[in-house]
Amino acid sequence: MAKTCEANGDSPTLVHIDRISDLPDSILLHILSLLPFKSTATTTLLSKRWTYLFQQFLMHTDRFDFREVFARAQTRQQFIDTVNRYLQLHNGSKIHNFRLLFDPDIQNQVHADKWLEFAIQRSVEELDFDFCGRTVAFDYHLGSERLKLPDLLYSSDSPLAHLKLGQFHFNPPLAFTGFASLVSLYLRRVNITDDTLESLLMKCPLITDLSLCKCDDLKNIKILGPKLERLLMVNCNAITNIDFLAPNLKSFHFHGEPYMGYSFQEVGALEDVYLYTNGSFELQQHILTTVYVYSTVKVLTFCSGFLTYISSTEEHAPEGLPFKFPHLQELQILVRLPMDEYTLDLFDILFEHTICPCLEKLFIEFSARDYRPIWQSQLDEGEEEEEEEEEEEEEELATCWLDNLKIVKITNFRGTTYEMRFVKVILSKCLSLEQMMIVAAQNFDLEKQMTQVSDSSTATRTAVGELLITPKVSNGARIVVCGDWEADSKTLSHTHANVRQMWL
Amino acid sequence: MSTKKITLLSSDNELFTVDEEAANQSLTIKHLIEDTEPENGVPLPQVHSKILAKVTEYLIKHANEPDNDAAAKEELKNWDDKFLEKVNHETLFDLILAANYLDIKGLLDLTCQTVADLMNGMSVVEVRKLFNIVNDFTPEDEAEVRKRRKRGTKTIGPSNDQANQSNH
Repeated sequence: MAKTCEANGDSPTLVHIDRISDLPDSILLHILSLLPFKSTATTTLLSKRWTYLFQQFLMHTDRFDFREVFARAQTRQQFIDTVNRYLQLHNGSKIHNFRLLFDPDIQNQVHADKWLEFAIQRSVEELDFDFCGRTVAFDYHLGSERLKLPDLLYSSDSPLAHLKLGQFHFNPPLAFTGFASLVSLYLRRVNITDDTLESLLMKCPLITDLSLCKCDDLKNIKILGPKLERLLMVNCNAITNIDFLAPNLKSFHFHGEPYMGYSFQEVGALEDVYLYTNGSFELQQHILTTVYVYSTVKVLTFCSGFLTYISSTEEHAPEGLPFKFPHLQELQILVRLPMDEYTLDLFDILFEHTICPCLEKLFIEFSARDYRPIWQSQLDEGEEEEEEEEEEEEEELATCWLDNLKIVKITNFRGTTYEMRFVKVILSKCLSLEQMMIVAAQNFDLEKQMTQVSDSSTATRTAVGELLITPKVSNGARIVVCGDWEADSKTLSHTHANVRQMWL
Repeated sequence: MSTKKITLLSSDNELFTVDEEAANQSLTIKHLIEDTEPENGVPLPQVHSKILAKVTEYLIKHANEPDNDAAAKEELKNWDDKFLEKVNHETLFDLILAANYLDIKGLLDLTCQTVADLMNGMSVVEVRKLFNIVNDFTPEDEAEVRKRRKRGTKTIGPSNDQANQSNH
């Protein structure tokens, strides 16, 4: 393309030259490949040269990404037309990855077939084919309709390494011999039977990652695989029993209703466990017992149901105590109860009946639900006696648990009376504490609290002000208080900090 | 480790001396040395001294790339960021052309990524303005292209896809 010069009226020496369009095609195609797919598509509007370049790019690219960013602004028909046009231009025989997110609608079957065939015929290695909807809004009026997968997907020489499917029937033909190269499998709202899952896992010898999300046909399943390292289960709520036959399983993340039956016949060194359970307390026992069975766990998250469980064990089967976590380094507790006398007691029981000699980091997330908070002033009215009793109890609290804690982070803090008591216990017991980070809840007026702290003439006792003068046993401990919008920028976060966002 | 020095001769006859190991990152220079063993410096008639100074700075810094040392890698990455921080577009495109001609993969990737980062997140109009790209569509052309591209896709996308791209 010719140089486009545009004389600047004021200073004739300054000439605006379009240097970028003069670069050789090969370099510009390289630059296009470094942009997100949708941005690449937009460059076609810059000028004729760039329209040409984008067509060249489409002919040779080995990556297609028709997911949210790409699709959000388009209607269904526009989306279908654009995908078809782009694929039509493609001239290569091999693509590396193909990602697509579209709406659940049985009428899309014909397009799904065509697009899948396109990818599979070009020996795609990473296929993300999700028909669960482009936006969250679509998720709510999902029908139960599932699309069919073409038989071509199950062909024997598939180089597929990563497969993610949403809103399909997974029903391979009898002759299916497995995916020899498959490393990770993610099924979301997929109809798959117990037997099919078992046989699929047996036929995928390299699989390391398995994720099952809202697969409602699964009831009594076997989790097996010689190389399986990570298992994620989200809201597969029809399951009643799981048999584990995975000697190398290291990570188990679970979200949903707990199941009645577990059989850990063969599980190696579980290091990373995340349990977020709903449902009745009795059911929770079963899944929660799996936690302390494995003494190898290093990183653990559980919710307050486990606290209730320990408390119940103390009452009914004290011979089973204490629970030992000899290797636990990081613990996160998601408190889903209001922070009150009862919950505080549960923490006392936890500290008393568990042994975690290596624990260095403790993360407590208070409930984000707006339970009516209990403030000191409310307690002051005629409850003086009980208050004294409380203090005596604190003295008795078992403390060895907290000896090695270096870092404590508390989120959704609102400065209520029981939250303050909890913090004070921690500060008065943790000998090695280096840092305590307190992240205020969204509706907590941190700014107001802060100004009152700095204004020493104000007699108002604010929660933050009180925290900063609270006596602590560890001399070196720093207390950081910040708003929830700042928390991300500070480096302190649990290994599981982003787990929920990843699959919800 | 070789300490043999290589002299490079820019288009405006300035000489630059670097270790052979540094120079060999440029496959073009490497082949020129192997073929001819030039006495008065390797002639690089396509590269001006102003650009060659920048290129040799890069070559020297990257002569011993750390393999497994995470801290050293981090340091080198920070150096790369700084290296192009204050470079104007003119120099950036000259560096791209030089890296292409001299066949220095690392420098070409770095400079192209810088251009991609500049474009990402910008609207079509902003990109045109940034690089002085002239819109040479006739109104009819533009209507046609826009019709095909559909509406609502004017932004050169948010960067949240970038993580996926840069994995490869």
